[in-house]
Amino acid sequence: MSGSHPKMGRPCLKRTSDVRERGTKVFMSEHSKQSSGILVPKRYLPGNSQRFFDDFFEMAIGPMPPPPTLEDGSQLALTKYYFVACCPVAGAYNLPDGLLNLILRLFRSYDGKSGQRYLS
Amino acid sequence: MTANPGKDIFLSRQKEPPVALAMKEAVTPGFEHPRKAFASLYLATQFEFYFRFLSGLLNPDGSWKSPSDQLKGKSLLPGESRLNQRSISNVEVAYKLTVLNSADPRAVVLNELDTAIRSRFQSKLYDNLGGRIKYVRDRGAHGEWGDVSAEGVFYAALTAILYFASP
Repeated sequence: MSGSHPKMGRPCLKRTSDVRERGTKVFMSEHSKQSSGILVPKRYLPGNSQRFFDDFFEMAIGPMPPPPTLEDGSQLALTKYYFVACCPVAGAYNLPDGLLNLILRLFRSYDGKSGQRYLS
Repeated sequence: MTANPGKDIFLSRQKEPPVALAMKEAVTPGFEHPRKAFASLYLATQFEFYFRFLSGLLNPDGSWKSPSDQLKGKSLLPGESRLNQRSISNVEVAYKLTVLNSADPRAVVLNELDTAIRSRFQSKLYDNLGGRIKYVRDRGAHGEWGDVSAEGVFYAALTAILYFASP
């Protein structure tokens, strides 16, 4: 968090440009030290406070609860952790890809009705 | 996934070419990648089969396994009128039946995830993970939305969770 929302008085969420660490890392099992094959941006790894949702100032719903505790290094636990951290909201809102899809869609085929429906 | 033996909801016919490939494509970076759109929609359509199976009450085509299973379903979801039908063709209802099937460890995992997601964001559009799948999948599968790839990571991660949690 890095300030307050000017209108809503809520904490501002960090923009993507503010994210300290970039790139991806492959989750490693704590036990086997073998790659689980799950590519995750570094900022969402266990222990990092920055999460996917925090990238979008526009959502402005306030601070998120702390990330769940990582149970162990199993593939299931890691996938669950990633799932909860990265996929809290459906559709274009929680993923940069989806957001960009939404923008492109609106630019390409906006007819008023479909755009409103997509945004609702 | 492709190298491992088939599991109950991930039989070889389903998991090898389509599911594993769709998971890979759905999480591939690149928002303008058309394969991501195909993969996401494919994964979205598989959940109804998973949940029917995991409910323990439904056949893969959505029909009730037996009249007693239908009665059990009604007792689990007393306010759900759609359970009176001969088969269940609604991914959200199948999901609700699944999370109430305490005999399956995957039901516990789904319930746990649902609670964790809800603690972060309470949607006005859907009440649970099954509702979320239904909300986007129906519009994608019926053609209203041409691209549901925004949910690709969600679908792929949920599929992976069901796979890893499968005995």
